[in-house]
Amino acid sequence: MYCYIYDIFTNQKKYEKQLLKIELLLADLGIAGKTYKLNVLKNLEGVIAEAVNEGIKTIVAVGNDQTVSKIVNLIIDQGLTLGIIPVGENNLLATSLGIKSSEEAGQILAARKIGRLDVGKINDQYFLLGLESGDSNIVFDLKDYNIQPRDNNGAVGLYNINISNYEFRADPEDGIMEAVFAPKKQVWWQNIWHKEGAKPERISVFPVRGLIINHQKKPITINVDRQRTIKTPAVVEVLKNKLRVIIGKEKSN
Amino acid sequence: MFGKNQTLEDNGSGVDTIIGPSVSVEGNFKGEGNIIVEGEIKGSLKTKGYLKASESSVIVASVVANEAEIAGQLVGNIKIKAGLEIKATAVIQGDIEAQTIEVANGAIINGNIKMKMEAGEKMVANGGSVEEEK
Repeated sequence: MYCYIYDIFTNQKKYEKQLLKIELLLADLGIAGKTYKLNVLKNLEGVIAEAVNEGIKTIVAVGNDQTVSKIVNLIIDQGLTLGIIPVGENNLLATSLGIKSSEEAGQILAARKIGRLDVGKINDQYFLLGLESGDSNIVFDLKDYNIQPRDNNGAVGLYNINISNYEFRADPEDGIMEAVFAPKKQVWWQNIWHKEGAKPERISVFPVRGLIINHQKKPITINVDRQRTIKTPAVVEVLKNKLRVIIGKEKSN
Repeated sequence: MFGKNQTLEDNGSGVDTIIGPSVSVEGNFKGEGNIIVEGEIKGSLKTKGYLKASESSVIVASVVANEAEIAGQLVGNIKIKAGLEIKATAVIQGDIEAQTIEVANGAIINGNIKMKMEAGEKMVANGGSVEEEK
């Protein structure tokens, strides 16, 4: 049986019709299950513990990327399967798994095609999307070599799924995450100064299986899955194919 | 893999690692695939694939690759299994070893160059002519 966990923000009136439509569709498809709507009194930890006690094997996150990230942290060690019904904004993970809308999600859950996604572990926390920082004080220590941003660098990230605006390929099933260093965006007067047709500076991309994120002077803050933060130093490892997820037929990377 | 006359795509497709102009890499970098260098690297650089070091690259490292194209500054010895292309903007200080080398007019090289002979050919010591092995 499926267990549907609705994030707090889905309680907003503007999602009422959409959720009703989804619930009717799930009932039509014969996959309606136990539903939990989170609120200030009902927390996620309690809901998942209750679902596990009831023998539920599939947890469906009804919400956005942040909803999925929160749930993954709690189900990863339980061996449960994850399903996603995207609602609201910031649903890059669902899109990359071929789940383009909440209507489509119902059909995908019914078809139950399972993919095994890589999961990142930073210290004792799990992440699914990636890590980001804008601090040029950061150092990526990869045992045999280290990478440091130069003065012209703007942003740093380690991605399982490409949630950034930069162009690179990230496959969440290959056991590798992409460390990305992006140069600062040029301001208008720099664009005028540069020759017409000159290409913007290229981003740096390194395939990574594990590393230590360190700092040069003071500890820095790393954003985890655009949801929570952690301070350096931090040990990061990529756990290959750790999470069972229900995916769409046409998964994109 | 890249052939003799092929180049890496400008959009980075077919490239496993891009060391761009906004980073500095220090240590022993080892890659399996194709690498583009537009930034700084110090230490050593090894890949079983193709290495493209652009005009903005500053490499202070020993380099080992299957094939390479060098257009930037390089201080260190270079060992290329197949073909090496040295562009006009390249400034190399170090010894070079490759099967084939193409050097553009304007490139600066300070070091020894050693080229491996093709299998089946050998220099005849007396007279210095080349003889085909039957």
